[in-house]
Amino acid sequence: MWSYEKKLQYPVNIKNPNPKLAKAIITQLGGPDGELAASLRYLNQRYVMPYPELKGLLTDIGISLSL
Amino acid sequence: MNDRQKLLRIIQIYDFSIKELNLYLDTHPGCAAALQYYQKYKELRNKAYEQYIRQYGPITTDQVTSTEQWTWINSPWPWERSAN
Repeated sequence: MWSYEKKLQYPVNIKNPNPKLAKAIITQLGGPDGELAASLRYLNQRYVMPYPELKGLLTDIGISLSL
Repeated sequence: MNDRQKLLRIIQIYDFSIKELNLYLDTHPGCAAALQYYQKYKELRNKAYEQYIRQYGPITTDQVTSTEQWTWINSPWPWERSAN
């Protein structure tokens, strides 16, 4: 289950705004080969994972890519 | 339904109420009655969580208390039938 933390994982201060780069980055996050898609793959792979260590690992990697 | 499942159901009920109050309070931030319900159910929820974690193990990774074993990876997981 998801919950939201009202803080960044790491501080961000953009010195030189760059719309072209921003577009590339947001595609890396939400695009077809992006972090969010990868995150759902990890979270779905858990359902057929027999090893407890790796059920935990797939869960913890899957959520870190969707934060 | 075993004791763990009963306690889990209670936690789910509290969490649901708290989430609904959360959504209501987002658009009614000054409603004293809702705020009172929110605090009341939060306290009940916390007590139920405390008992659950103590008896059956962590619900989130930061609730692991053992210094011997990483109990986070213990069964059952929520997608396994025996968990619910």
